[in-house]
Amino acid sequence: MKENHQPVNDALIDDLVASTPQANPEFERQLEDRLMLELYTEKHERKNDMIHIQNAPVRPVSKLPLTLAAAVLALILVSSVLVFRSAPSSQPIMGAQATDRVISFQSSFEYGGQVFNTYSDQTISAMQRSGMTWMKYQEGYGMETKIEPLQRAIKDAHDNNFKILLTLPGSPTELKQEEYFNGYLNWLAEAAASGADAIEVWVEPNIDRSWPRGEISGAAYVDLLRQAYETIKLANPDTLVISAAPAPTGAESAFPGQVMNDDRWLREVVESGGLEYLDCVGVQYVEGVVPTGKTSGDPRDNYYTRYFGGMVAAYQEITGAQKPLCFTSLGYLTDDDLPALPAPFAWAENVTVGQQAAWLAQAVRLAAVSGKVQLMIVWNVDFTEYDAAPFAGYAMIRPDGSCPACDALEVFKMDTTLFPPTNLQPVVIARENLAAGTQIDIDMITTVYWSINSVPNEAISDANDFEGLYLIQDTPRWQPILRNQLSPIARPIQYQNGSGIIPMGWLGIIVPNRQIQFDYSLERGDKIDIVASLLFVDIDPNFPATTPATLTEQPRLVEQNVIQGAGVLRLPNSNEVDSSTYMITVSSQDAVILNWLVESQVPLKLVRSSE
Amino acid sequence: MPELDNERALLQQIHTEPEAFRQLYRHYFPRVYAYVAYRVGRRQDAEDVVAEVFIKVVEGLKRFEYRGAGSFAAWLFRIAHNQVNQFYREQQVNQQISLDEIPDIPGDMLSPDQALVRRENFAHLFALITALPPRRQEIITLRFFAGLRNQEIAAVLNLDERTVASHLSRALDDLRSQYEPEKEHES
Repeated sequence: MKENHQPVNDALIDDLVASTPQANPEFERQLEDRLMLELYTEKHERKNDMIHIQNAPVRPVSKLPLTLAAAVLALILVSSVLVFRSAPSSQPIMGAQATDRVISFQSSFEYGGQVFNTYSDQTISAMQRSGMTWMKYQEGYGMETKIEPLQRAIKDAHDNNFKILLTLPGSPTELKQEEYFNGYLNWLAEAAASGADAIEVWVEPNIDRSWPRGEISGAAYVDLLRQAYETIKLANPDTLVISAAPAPTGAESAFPGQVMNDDRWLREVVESGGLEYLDCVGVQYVEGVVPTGKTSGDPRDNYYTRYFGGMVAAYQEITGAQKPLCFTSLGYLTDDDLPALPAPFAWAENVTVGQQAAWLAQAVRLAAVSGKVQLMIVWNVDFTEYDAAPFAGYAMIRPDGSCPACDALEVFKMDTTLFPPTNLQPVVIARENLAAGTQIDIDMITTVYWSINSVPNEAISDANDFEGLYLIQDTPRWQPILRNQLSPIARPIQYQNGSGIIPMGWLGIIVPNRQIQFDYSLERGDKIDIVASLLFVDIDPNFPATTPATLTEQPRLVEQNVIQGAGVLRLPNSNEVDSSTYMITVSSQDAVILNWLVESQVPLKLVRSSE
Repeated sequence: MPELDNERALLQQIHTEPEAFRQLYRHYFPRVYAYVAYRVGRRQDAEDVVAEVFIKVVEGLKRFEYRGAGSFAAWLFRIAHNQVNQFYREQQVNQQISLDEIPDIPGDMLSPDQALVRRENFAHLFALITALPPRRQEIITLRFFAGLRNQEIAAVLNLDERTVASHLSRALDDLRSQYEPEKEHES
């Protein structure tokens, strides 16, 4: 069958072709990562696969030395991300102490669940089946509160090989009483000393249910957090301190003094120095009604708190990726097998138990591969309360005792074979906005781990590769520093017309326009060869002289391709044919040749070459 | 659509070699995206549908059987075609799309005016194409954005190849009769 060939001059066809849409590259890469994971996970689960990944040796990551290579292996599990390179002894590393703590803790991404009952066989069994390694237990502090319930919870968790996160809020109405506050700090210290693996300091401090009305602010919370952090670390330096997850909300304008938007609150925490007093940033996500990987489609609106990805992206942006994220509550509400939800929760009425299970498994998977999340706690495992507060709607264990979420998570038990090290690559990025001309100091940079598909070609893996070099173009905060943006010499000049993109070790040579015979319609960025037209005269080798052997001898015209692989950085201004110039980028060796050709006013042809 | 030279080998290796999948994905992704984008119009919807298409592809790879050149493309776009149909079944789609919802149209050297004209052309063409009968919409988008040959389109839509050619010809005639391109301004 003949194809339907169209005439060449067809505006419709031309415009159809010219208006072919193109995807956002970031979307393309993220989807690729996700699909690779899907394939890999399938393989992991397939029992008869030729390459049986479950048989691969399990690497005890926590025993690896913390060399860079080992750190990469440690990040097989795609845990968190901040790894600072060791610095020369003469230069202090800002935040290095905190980062070492992060590294030592984060041998893996882990997940767990919040329990009502720390000793129920059914609860423990569901968590173990789900591959959970953490138990979360919450207790509020009052003046009469004893430490024993926390100690029992710690013992129950440890007896069943779970680490335990204690979420320990206090009373907003008593917070400002000195005796109460000191009692609260002592309680935290006792919990840490009793073996708590992690403590979340307070809950939802951005709403007046948990914080004094009219006094909600990130700075006020940091004041509490700082004292809590120091108290906990003094009692048990191994206890992880997690900042209180704020309630995700955008309702502050509707409730002034009662609510502060979580993003603004967290920004204040960062600006008040709060990151110095936490090991992991607490995050809460309990309002999802679309699959975990979605970033649109929520029928309410597209506010970022509606989406798991929105929360991760927002909190990472606000904290500048300086600390990992810990989801201290992540759950999906459903009334599929329960009476209808109370009106304030009706937004979840269409979520099914099956979706809850599938989305929880997706959440674990996405958190694991995000490289940004250290811990994820499912809200919740076994709560049965179902009234104005429909906790049972979130529970993994359903009213009939079944646990579809356990089934979904069971096939996703985390082990060191799940995420191969090839997924990640260290990338050195700027910790702050760096201006052109800045000499790189180790304090200005940090190393993070990116998906190999996202790493630019010129990215640098080892911070020691460029310490002391100069940036030749502005580099915004959190952008990778690229090899072609660096120079060994300070160049306090105006970087115009693309000189900032001269590859490292190359030079830009100005060539007068009048010296160029042809440039074959070159464009900026073209790769070119340079052909020189030289006039040669023969000189008697026995009597060398600077003049021709005979005055009548005509010089011979010789054309030679003298430089290959040069680049066009700047073209002459067409309005100034005689006075304008080209800028040609060449290697330092070729620069000598090109300079000689320019000085000798040798006619040149610039010829576009193949890549 | 030109098939990858080693497509058969890649498909054989795909369950054990991540690189095989990566090559196939990178080859087909732009065409799937372009096809879907022209079918659904909005960038965000296109991303959602494309993601679903490739997830379906990953899930179905175990069942896919290579049956000669073009069979993978036909299978892939059959899935894309089904997902687009599913999208229209599930969504109450408003065909009026604003320019800021339109997918990116490539063109590094375009001036802002020229880029705007491209976007306007897309919106105009999208409106004209969606006004065509459904089968012709499918055929024209599979032909020009998925890059499929008539034979492959026939496989995707379970049609005779001659029927495809006939629909394509008539669809182009319909479009030409109504199409008035935006003029690109010199910057």
